[in-house]
Amino acid sequence: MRLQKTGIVAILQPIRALLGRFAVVSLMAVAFALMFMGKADVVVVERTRTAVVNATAPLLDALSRPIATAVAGYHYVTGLADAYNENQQLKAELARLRALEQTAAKTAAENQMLRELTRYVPDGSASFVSARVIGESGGPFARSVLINAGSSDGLSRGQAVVNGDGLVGRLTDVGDSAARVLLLTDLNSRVPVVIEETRERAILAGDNSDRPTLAYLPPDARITSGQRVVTSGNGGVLPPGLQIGTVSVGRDGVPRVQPFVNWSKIEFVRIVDFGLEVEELPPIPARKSGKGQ
Amino acid sequence: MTPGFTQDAGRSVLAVLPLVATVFLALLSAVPTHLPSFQMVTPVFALAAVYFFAIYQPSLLPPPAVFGVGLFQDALLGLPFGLSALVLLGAYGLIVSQRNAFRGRPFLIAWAGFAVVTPVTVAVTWAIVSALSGTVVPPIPAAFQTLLTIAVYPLINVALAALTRLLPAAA
Repeated sequence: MRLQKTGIVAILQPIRALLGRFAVVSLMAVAFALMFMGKADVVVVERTRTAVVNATAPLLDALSRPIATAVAGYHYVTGLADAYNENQQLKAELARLRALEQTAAKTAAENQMLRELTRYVPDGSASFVSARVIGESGGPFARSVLINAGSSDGLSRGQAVVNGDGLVGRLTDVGDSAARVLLLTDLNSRVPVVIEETRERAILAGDNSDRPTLAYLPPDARITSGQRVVTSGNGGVLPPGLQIGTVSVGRDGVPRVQPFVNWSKIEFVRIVDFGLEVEELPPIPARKSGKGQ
Repeated sequence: MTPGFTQDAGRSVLAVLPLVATVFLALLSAVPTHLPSFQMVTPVFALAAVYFFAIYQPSLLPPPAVFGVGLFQDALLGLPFGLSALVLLGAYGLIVSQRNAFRGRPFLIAWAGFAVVTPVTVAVTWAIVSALSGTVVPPIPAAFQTLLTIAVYPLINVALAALTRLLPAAA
């Protein structure tokens, strides 16, 4: 009896092992195929990703809250210790900003006057949705965060995401109640920008490092560290003039941008709807009939 | 009859615990910590779980489960879909084939094995992501991620060993 059993086990064991190994290899092949399907932006892959983000959002939301509270507590305590210095700094900054305020008011009035003079068409009014960051892509291979707002809050793919410091990124996977923000620093992020001072255009290309690179600069571009970089609005996906950061040319000579956003401190973000969806062109026959009259 | 049935039901609930634990560890990689630069070097917690089960009880986390965990991690972290599934399965297959070298040996041997598997896994991930995007991904955060992942392994080992003690030994 006992012998018989070991006999069967002895036969089955290698078969089971073979099947097990076959399962690993065939599943690896499936994973490999999926990777290329995903690269080609297949809808099923995108839907699956969005569904996972949606399904895990409540859990992530719950997990992220205690940490957020602990961080807030830590900042409160360290903030108390530093309150005096911070107060002095803020007073100095206030004095500086009062002077700037005068200039800004004067410029605004002048701007208004010039706009009236040139019959400037104003940009559409923007609407905001605020959301909390509930997840982030841990690890060096992707730079994105998950937020607790989605299509039910009026969000849609491609919208700009900002915080108080500047542009954070753009929405990619948008679920009902959660969405993914592709950060400026992700290696898939491409944002049309302009150097504010020289009006030279470039593409801000992320490479997963903290400072994205400036690609496609004109060869004769006059780039110096410290120049401000803002969105150019080219391509119609993002509005022009959203502040991003300052140019910093490293030792390797590659022009990079130091974003204003502090990546480790993004707790809340605002999603801006500028109403920039490409609208259909007005029908042509209307013009024809006008001509005929 | 009834006790037998409840026992079976209890067993099947317990049988999914390793998968649930591994998914939970993958989820931990996505929890925001707000620590400066930590996001870049968050350990691959799921790899530690896959390693643990591959050595001690592969039947508790069969290949399809590893595949599922990988896809879940890809969707969650916004990685190329299929990447983690591929890499975790590769590591799993490798470890299962070598598990006799680690079973019944002191914990330090298993940890040393993990210290070999992790750099290889991260390096392969790094190479695939770099190739897919046509950009060289900064390697230094990947190196730190490797070190942190190796450093947290003992904790995960302890937690999962406690979990497997809850399960029926039949597996």
